[in-house]
Amino acid sequence: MQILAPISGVIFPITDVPDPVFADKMLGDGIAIDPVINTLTAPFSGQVIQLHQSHHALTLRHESGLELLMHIGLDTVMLKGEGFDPQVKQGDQVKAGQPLIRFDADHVAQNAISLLTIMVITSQHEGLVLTPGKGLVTASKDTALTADFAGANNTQPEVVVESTGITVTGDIIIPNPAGLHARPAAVLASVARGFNSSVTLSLDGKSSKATSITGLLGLGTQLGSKVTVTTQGDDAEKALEAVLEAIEAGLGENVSAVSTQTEESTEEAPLIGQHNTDPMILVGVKAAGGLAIGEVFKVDNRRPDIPEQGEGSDAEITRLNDALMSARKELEILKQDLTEQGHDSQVDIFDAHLGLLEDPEVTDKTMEQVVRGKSAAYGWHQSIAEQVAALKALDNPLLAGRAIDLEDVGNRVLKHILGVGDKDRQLPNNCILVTDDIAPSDIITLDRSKVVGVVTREGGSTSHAAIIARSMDLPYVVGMGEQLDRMTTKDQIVLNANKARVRLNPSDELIAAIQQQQLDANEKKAADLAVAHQPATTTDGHNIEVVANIGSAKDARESLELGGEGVGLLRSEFLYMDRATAPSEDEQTEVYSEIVKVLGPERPIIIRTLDVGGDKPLQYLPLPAEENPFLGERGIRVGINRPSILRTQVRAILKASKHGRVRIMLPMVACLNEFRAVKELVAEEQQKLGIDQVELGIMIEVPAAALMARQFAKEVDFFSVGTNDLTQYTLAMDRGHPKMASRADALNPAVLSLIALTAEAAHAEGKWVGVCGGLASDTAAVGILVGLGVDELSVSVPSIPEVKARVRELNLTDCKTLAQKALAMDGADDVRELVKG
Amino acid sequence: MGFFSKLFGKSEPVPQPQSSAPITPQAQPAPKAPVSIDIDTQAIISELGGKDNIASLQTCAVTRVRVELKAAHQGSDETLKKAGITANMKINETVIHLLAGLEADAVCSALKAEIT
Repeated sequence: MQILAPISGVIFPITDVPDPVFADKMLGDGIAIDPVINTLTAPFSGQVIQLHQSHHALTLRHESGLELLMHIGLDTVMLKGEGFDPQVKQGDQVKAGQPLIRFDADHVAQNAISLLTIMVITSQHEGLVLTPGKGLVTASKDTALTADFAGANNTQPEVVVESTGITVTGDIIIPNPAGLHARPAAVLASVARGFNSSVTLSLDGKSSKATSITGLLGLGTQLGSKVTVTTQGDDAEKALEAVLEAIEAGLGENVSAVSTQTEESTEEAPLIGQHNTDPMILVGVKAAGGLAIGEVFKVDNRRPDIPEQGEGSDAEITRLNDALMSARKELEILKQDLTEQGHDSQVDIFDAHLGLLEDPEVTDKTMEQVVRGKSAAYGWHQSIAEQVAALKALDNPLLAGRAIDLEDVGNRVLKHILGVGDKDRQLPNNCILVTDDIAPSDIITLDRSKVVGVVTREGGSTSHAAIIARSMDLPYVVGMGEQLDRMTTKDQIVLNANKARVRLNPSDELIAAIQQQQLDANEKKAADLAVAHQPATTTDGHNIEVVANIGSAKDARESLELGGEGVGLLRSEFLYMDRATAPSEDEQTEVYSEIVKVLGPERPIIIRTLDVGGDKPLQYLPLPAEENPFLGERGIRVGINRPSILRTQVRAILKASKHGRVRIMLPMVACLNEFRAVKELVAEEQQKLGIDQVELGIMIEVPAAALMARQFAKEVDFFSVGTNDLTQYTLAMDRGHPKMASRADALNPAVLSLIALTAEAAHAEGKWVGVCGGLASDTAAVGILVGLGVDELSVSVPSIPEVKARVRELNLTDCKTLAQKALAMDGADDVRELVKG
Repeated sequence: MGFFSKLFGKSEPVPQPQSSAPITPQAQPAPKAPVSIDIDTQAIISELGGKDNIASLQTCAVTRVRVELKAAHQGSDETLKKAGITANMKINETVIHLLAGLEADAVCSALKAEIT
C-alpha cells in the first residue's frame, strides 16, 4: 500500500526525530516530514478515529484496518490547541486529500520544540515492511511511505489470555497536564507490556487495553480524570501496582506541581451557603424530590469483561442475532407495560431505543469485526462506543441525549450477547438503590414496591432518568461523586431528595420522627384532597384562582379531578419536540382543541407560545450554537425572528379558541416592541379567521419586563410571573448549577420586589397577575404571593389540593403585612425563616 | 536557541524502552554525529535582498532558520536550492523559514557570520 504524503515537505527518517517516543518507534514505525505548507490532508480515505483535544494530532483508519497517527510537531500538546484549526471531527469519514488540520506554522514553530510532522502506523501488523519516501514530497501526490503487507497477517496473533490468575482493579487520578497524550501513552504501553497480565484502563464507560496507544489516546483523558485500572492474569497484582505507580509518577512528564493543586481545590469551603460540615450528611443534586428511609443496596453496574477473540464467525453472528432479538422482545414488552400504565411519553423513549437496534451503522460495523475474527460482544461494544463518542463530540445537547439512549441500548444487547442478565439481582424490601449511574430503562423497570429511592454517583438533574423518576414519584439524587463510596449495602440511610441529602446511620428517634412526618403528610394529603373541589378563599373572603400547569390532555383531566379551576400554563413545546418537522396548523388545532374541550366552555386556559432556545433546540429549527443560550435566541425571540412558525401556532390557537376560554401567553418578553409586534400578528390572524378578541398576555421572566410593568400593563391583558427564570435572570444564578442552585431562591427579596412591582402595575390598569413558576407550588410562599396581590396561582397538577388548602388557612390582611415584611428582609434565608415562624 | 545547540553537542545514548521497567523519556535529540554543512551563505543572503534587508535570523523548531526581512524580497526556490537550502516555507511577505534539518543551528550561525 502506497501512503501519500499528508503534507508537503522534506522527508525525515523517524529515527532522526529529536524525541525518543518517535525515534525509538514506541508509538510504531513511520516517517516524519518537515512541512512547507500549513495544512495536513488525508493521505487516504478513511475514518478519523481519534482527534486529540489539543487538535495537534489525529488517527485515521483505512478500510483495511491500518491505523495511521499523524502528529504535527513535537510536544505540541502543550500549546493546548492554540494555532491549530481542525477541519474534521472525531468519527468523521474523510476522503483522500481532504484537509484535516490547518495550523499557524510560524506560531507553532516559535512555540513548540519542532514542527516535524510525524506519521506512524499504530495498528499491529505481523510482518509489515515499511519503505520510507525520500527528499521533498508534495501532499496528495508523492508517496511518503510504502507499507508492504506481503506475508503480513492483518489480524493480531491469537493472544491466549490467561483465564486463570486473578483480576484486580484500582483507581487513579491522571496527573498529566494534557492527559494521556502520545508520550505518556507510549510509556504506559511499554510498562504494561512488561507483564503477562492484561491491563485495561477505563474512563466514563470507555475502556482500552493499556498496550494500545490508539485506544489510550481515544479515552480522551484530561488532567484530573479518574481512571480505573483493571489487570487480569497471574501477575495481576504486580502489574496493577507498577501501572498505578508509573501513572502517579507522571509517565515521563513532570507532574508534581499539578497533582497537589487539584487535591487542594476540592477541599475548599465556600464563604457563604451551607457548606456541609456534618460528616454523616452527604450532599448531591436533586433529580426527583421526596423522602425515603431505607437500606442501601449497592449495584456495581460496570460492564463485565468482554472477550476480544470470537469463536468463529458463524457462532458469533448467531449470538449477535439472538441478542438483538431478545433485546427487541424485552423492549416490546416494556413498551406494552408502559402503554397499559398510561406513560405515553416514556413509550416514545423506548420506541427510539427500538429504532437504534436497527441502526445499520452499528450492526454493519459489528459484522465487520466478527468477520475479522473478533467476538460479537467485542464488535458490538466497539461500534456502540464509536458512535457514542462521535455523537458526544458534536457538542449538541440533543445528540448527547441520543448518545445516552444508544449506550443504554448497547448495554442491553451486550448483556444478552454475554448471557449476563439482571436476573440475579435480588432486591431487598425497602431499599435505596446506590449506583454509579442509572439508565432510563433501568429506572423504569425498578420494582417500586421494593425500591424507595435512588442515589447515583453521576447523572444530571434534567436527564431522561430524572424525568422518569419524577413521574414515578421516586426520590432520586444524582452527582454524589466520591461520597458514594461512604455507603455500603445494608447501611440504613435517610434520603431527603428535596434537599438532595443523604443522612448516614440515622438514630432510631430520627427515623421515628421522619416516619411520623410521612404519616402526617399522607394524612394531610388525604384531607386536602377531600375538599379539593371547594374554592380557594381566604378566611376573610378573598378568592384566589388555583389553576394547573400542564403539558397534555391527560394532565388537563387529572387537574380537574384534583380540583383545578382551569389551566394557567399549557406548555406547547411537547407538540414540537422529538420530531423531524414542525407540526402543521391542522395538527396543532386538533391537539389544542382536545385540551380546551377537556376544560369545557367556562374554565380558562392559557396557551403559551413555543418556548425553546439554544438550550433546548429542535431538529427542524436550526438554532446556531450560542456562547450563552440563556441570553440568546430563546422564547418569543425565536418566533419574532421566524414569524412563520409563530403565525402557524397563533392560527391554531385561535381556531381552538372556539371551544372555550382560551388566552395566549408570550414567553421571555423583555421589550414593549416585541409584544407590540406579536400583538399585531395576532390581530391580523384574528381578522383573517373572523375570530373574536382573544386575551393576550406576557410572562414576567426577564427583570426588564417587571421593571417596565407600568408601560406593559396598559397594553397586555394579563401578566403571569415565571419565577424560575425570573429568579435566575435577577440573581444571575443558573438554577441548574450544582453550586448555585441552592442560592437561586425565588423568595429572595429582589425577586419578590419585582413581583410586587408587576402586581401593582397590573392592578393600576385593572389587569390581573398570576404566578406560574415553581414558587406558586411552594406552600411556604403562598401567603407572601397572596399578600403581594397575586390573583391566580398556576401550580403543578399534584399540588393543587395542597395549595388550595393553604389559601383557605390564610387571611388577606395578614398576608399583606407578611409580604411587606418579606420585601424589607435582607435575603432569601431571612424570608424562609419569616414564613416558617 | 542556545538550549538546542547545547543539546546537540551531547552524544549520550538515549534511553531505550525496556519491557520490564518504567522509562521516562523526555523530548531530546537522537544521537547524531556533527555533519559539515555545505551551503553558499553569500548566495542565500543576496537572494534574500542582501544583508541590509535582514531584520533577524534565528533557529527555531530545531530544523529551521527563521528569517525576518525588512522589505519583501524573497528569493526563488531554485536559487535557494542551488545555494544549499533544499526547502523553504514562506510564512508571509517578510517572514521565511529555511529548512535545514538537524544542522539548522549551524546554518543559522554561518548566515549570522555572513551578515556581521
